[in-house]
Amino acid sequence: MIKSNLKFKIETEVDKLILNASLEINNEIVCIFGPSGSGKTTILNNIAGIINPKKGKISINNNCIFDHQKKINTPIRQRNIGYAFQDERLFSHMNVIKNLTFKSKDQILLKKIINIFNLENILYRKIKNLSGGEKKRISLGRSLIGNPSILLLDEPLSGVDEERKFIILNFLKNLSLKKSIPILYVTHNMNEAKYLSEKIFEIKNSILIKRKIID
Amino acid sequence: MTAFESSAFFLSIKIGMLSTCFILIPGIIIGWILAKKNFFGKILLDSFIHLPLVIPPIGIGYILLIILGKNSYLGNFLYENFNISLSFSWIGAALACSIMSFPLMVRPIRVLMEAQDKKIDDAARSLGASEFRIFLTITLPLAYPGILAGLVLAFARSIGEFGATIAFVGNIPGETQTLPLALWTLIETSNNQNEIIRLGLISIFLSILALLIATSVEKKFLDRLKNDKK
Amino acid sequence: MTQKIIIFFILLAFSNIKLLAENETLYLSVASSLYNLSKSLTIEWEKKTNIKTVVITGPTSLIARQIHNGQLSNLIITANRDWLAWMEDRELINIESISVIAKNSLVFSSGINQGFFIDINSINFKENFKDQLSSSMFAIPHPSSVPLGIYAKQALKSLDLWDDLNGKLVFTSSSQSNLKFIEKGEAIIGISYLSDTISSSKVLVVAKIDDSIFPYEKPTYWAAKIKRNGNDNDFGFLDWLKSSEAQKIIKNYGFETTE
Repeated sequence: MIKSNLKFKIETEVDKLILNASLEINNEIVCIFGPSGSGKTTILNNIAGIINPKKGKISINNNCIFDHQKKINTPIRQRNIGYAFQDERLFSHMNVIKNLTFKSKDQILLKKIINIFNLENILYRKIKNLSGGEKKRISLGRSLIGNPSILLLDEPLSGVDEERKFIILNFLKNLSLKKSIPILYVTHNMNEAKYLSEKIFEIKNSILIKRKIID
Repeated sequence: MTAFESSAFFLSIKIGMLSTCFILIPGIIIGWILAKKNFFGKILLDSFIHLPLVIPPIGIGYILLIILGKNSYLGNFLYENFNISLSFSWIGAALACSIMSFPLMVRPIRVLMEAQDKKIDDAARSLGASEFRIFLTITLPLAYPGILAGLVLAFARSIGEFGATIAFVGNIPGETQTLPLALWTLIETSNNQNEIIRLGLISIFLSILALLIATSVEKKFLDRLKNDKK
Repeated sequence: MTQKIIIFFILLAFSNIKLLAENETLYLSVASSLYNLSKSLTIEWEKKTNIKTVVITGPTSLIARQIHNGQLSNLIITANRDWLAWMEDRELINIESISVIAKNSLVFSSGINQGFFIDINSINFKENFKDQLSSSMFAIPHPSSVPLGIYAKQALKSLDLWDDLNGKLVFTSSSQSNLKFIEKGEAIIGISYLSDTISSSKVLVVAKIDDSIFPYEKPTYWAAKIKRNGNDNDFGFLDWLKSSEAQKIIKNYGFETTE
């Protein structure tokens, strides 16, 4: 089995405070839990290349994509990261199917996702006529298509109804295992986090640390 | 319509359309640069593009005559090598109109492109899209109402263009004598008031038609802007 | 809907494009004050020769500059000798071809209902004139830039009226706009070309100003053949202008002929 991983050790600025975060993820799902505004999204943006961290290194599958000392900074589009944004960022002028197939027209995964995410009936609808939950599902679906090396999922299932949510969570677990994709999953829902992984992190005193699980 | 009137009427439309064709693609590119790019000298480029709004049109026409007339290096080069003569031809009239209406073409395109959420571009980048693909599939379709508004405004401006046209390509019936020039000719030479009023009404008819389209397109444009803000 | 209108426009514009240019066309550049006369002349000439003519009009200064930059006229007719000299210097015209084709004279003109009456030769002319003008305005084109204005100033000086009119003069932008001021009664009286008053039904000639008694430079119209690449070709139009047939038409428009 191929070993894939995401490694990073960064210092980044969140609301004028320096946040330290370092982590190594293999073929598994790691959750970051915590209230909004603590810097979870910033960490994802640093990895995706949308915002650059102040210092540090990031590598995917042992390829360095960012190193402030060696001045390495791979452009966003070459990092091959599947990113489901907290604010969806769907292409409002396209219909659902065009959004899903923007990166790749690969039919096999597409059909599976349409089925599991329950999108058959809205494939040709315009984005602006959709509900919040529908938009969330499309955004997550879009990030999975096109063989990304890693997945960054920023509260991808908030607003999705409970029944569908667990179908999709199972699918994600399966995906990370079978296709060996590291997944960084940000949420403020503890049930989701616990369901997905035993590795749950949180940001305390501007440091990303592993959460002690007290049940 | 008399031959004099219809010749000016159709010529106005023909020149207006060629003029807007000339500036469609440059207008989109400049609008995109001004909306999305930051570079040294951007303010200069911005002011330069707005010059036709502030320089007297007849001055621009005279500058064109000096640059592109047959005595000029450029005009001579075009004539000798390609047998193209811009001065005193309807194509030259369209060129003069296109320069005068260029700022009106750029503006709505730029405004709409500036209003676009840059986060959407990031999303497209994360999906592997090149800057060129983002331009074609995201920026351009979202700016469509702005492009349409720019086209119609530029066309309406071309229909009414007088100063640059008369200075650059002259007042030649059937070749460069558009409605405003024909109207001016009548006012300068005719004692027949009915003739002047008739041509005035024809001019107004064409302008209102162009403006009606402009306002209906602009409404679409504003609706799109509102939807994007949501 | 919008698309339909746009398509309609496209069809409209291209329904009128002539596929082939006329093989022989005479282009005439004429001063604005000769436009109507030129139209009549070319209609007559087209009938005779079957050569299509296009009449281009505008201020002589602009036309001269445009010809210098390659405008395609075959012949120029103008009231401005200075600009002809300018064209001579630049070898734009055939010097031998320069000829006077008509002259004009100045008149006092006023709107048809103004009731202005003067006898220019009477001893009381000046008093009479000032009485009738009282506080009304007198219209002439700008006396330093428009030809009619320049001639009018000379005539008013010969008539010893120039200084008395101080403060009562309205300066207009061309002979035609001057005439429209007078037609509308914005100015009670003014100076016009005789030819212009003849073609207008809304003004009366109050008095003709005879240049042999009150000297002023007589408005004169010159024609010249334009050279292109050293050659000129006016299809014989200039010679025809001097013929009795053309001179008769010129006379009908109120111009003096050169015979």
